Amino acid sequence: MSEVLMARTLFGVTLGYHITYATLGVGIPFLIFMAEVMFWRTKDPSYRLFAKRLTRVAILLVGVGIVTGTTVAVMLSVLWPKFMQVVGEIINLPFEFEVFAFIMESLFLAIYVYGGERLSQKARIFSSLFVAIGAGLSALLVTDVNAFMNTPAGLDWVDGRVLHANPWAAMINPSMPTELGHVLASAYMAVAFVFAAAAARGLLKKQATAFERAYHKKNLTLTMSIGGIAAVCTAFIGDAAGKMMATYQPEKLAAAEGLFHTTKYAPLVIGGIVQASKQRIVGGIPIPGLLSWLATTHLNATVIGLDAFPRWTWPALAPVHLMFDTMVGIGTFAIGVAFVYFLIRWKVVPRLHDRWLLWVIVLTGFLSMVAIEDGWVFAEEARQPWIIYGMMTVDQAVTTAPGIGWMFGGFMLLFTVLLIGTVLSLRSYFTHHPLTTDELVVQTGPTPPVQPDVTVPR
Amino acid sequence: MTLAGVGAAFLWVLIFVYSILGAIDFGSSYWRLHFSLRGRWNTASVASTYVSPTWELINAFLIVIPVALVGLFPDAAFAYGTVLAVPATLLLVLLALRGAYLQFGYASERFRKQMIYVAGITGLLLPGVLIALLPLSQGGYVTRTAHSYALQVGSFFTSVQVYAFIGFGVTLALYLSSLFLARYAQAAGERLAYHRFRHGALWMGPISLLFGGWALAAGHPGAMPLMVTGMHLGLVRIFFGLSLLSFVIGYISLAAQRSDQSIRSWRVLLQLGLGIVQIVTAQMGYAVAHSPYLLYPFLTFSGAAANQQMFVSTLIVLIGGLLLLSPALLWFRRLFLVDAEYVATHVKENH
Repeated sequence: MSEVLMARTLFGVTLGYHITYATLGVGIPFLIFMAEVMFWRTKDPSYRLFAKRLTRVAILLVGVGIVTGTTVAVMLSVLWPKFMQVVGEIINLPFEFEVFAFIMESLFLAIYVYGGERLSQKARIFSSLFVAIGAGLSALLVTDVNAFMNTPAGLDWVDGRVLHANPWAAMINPSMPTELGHVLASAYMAVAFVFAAAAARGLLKKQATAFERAYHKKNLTLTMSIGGIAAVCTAFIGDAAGKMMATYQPEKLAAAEGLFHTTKYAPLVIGGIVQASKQRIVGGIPIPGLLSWLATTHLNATVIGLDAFPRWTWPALAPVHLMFDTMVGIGTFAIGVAFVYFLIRWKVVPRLHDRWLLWVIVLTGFLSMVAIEDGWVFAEEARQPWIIYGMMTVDQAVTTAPGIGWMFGGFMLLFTVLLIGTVLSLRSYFTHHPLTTDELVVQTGPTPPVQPDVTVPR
Repeated sequence: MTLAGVGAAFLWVLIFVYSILGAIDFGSSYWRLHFSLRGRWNTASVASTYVSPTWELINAFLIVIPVALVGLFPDAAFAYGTVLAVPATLLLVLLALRGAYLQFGYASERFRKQMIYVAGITGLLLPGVLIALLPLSQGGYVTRTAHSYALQVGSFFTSVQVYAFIGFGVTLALYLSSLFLARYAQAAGERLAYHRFRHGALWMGPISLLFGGWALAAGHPGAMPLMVTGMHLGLVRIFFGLSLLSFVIGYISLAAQRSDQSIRSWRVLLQLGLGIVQIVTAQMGYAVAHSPYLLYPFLTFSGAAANQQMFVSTLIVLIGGLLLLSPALLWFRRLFLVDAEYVATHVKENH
């Protein structure tokens, strides 16, 4: 493996790993906040219990996410020093804001969790809201640097130097609104579906008690409504992102859709293998004019194809197109599942066989996390060979230091340990704390919950 | 002072705050391991009551430093990024294991024991790894090629000077954290624990001082001469002198505390306060001696600074952000650090 490929793989795996934790770390605090609000409004202790159990998961995932996030932060400087040098000249503000969002998140998480019985219900809602805001802002601000990488702005790039830097303009670059919106909405969507899947799994258990069934049903409705709404938002923002790309990053759109020639009435091809050598898509279902319409809202509009760009700046076309379609496909599927669920829930259509739907929901939870990862890999692959579009290639940014192979081995080992530890400790917690009415009694007692049996055994 | 100097001073403040917070955090994890191995559960519990809610926040603070470095001195970020590829991996692995195991141990019983070990051992090593950046910045281990930098890995890892710094970092973290935990134990009314931490401080204080003197004196070919920078020398001497003085007074107060005497709150606070003054003044002396170099002899403050727009924006954002967050930080402090009732109940609770 070449040094560049090794560095890319190492960073890709690290980020891919971090994104799982980060997405859950953004979504779970929001669910906790919603559960606390639901408890406050309905006084139903079942929501308090949900918040408590979610908090356990959040503590673990946010904690490991902080660790992987620290790794990403340091690795950026270590693997891509020339990129970070440019970042320092023009787009470091989001990182600076992000640090504070991150501090705010850990601060309020500690207050929410360790504050325990000393917090009133209002203070609980307040602190969980700030955890959710901090987590959301963290994700948005880091994503903003990625948006800059896609559509750099606020500088003149002359002979490899940043001139006339305007850091604020760089922060508010063309792809910022849509990319940030898409990331946040999709995180809420994916995490809501993950916990919908968990609730569905609970309902599928044959020996579930009446209490467990009631608990899971409430959670299923809560998570499916959050997931459904977020999925629809994700789709609309995704559509806006497509229009943004058509204007500011036409090469990426052309690569995603496998469009070789600049054309009017450009067709949208669903699926299929893009063949760069033959300049066409083999297989796939073409829908005439739809790409033009999606990109510009006009069927007869011109969409710029790959032929407008030199060949060496094309990304790997076949995987990029398939990844794009997978992401869109899963998103659409999830909207459909949420729609069917509520049709049945509100008895618009007769009850189908419940278990069938529950299994589909379990599958949706899994697929929605796949879509998150897939979407990220797509976003990065489709920008290749650039690290900052039109300015700096990945080859130019990579470190000159030797020993990447060692780092690679070390981190793979570390991530394996972290993954196994995460799974084992979550499993162990939930086996030792089964869902019973006992927990509910503790919940409704005079001193509220989420009082951790922190720290160490004596 | 030039604008670049202001930025460097700000960066120094960040490093200084982190070094205190980090030393207490890392040292406390070690003391927890130390006392739980000896079956001193109450004393170990004082340490863990402190570590549990604070480590994430302190870890978050660590990120401010590289981010500030990138925004203020991108050329230095580039140089350190290139040079530190392998050493940073070591640091990250230690930090990651520590953070992850603290979470695993929190989530499940089966990881508790491993957590105490992992957090304790990494807590012992990390201050040493972090402080090893100082001899690196003093020069002699880095060479510059046409467009990049390279670390002389062999000479770095075999240098006596580097190990003197590592020893200094480790022992100083133990000294400062034992002073802090002594205060925490006293606030919780844990007499016995206070005396155990006081003993720890009595041991670690002189050892850290010896390592510190050695680290400053030990030279390395190509390194900057710290103590002969002409006009700064007077200032450097004053700072180091003050540092030594506060150590001596604090140490006498510690040593004179008899175990049958009642423990006075102001006295324990004074001991901790003098420990912090000792470190602040020593760091100021070191900073003055080290200026204006970020990486000797290649990078100075003004030479490595970002363009003015970025530099000023970074300063405004970072200072503004810290100010904005301060109410929340104060709430946090009230809940977990100065609330004697919280400390007392959590320490006595059956963890």
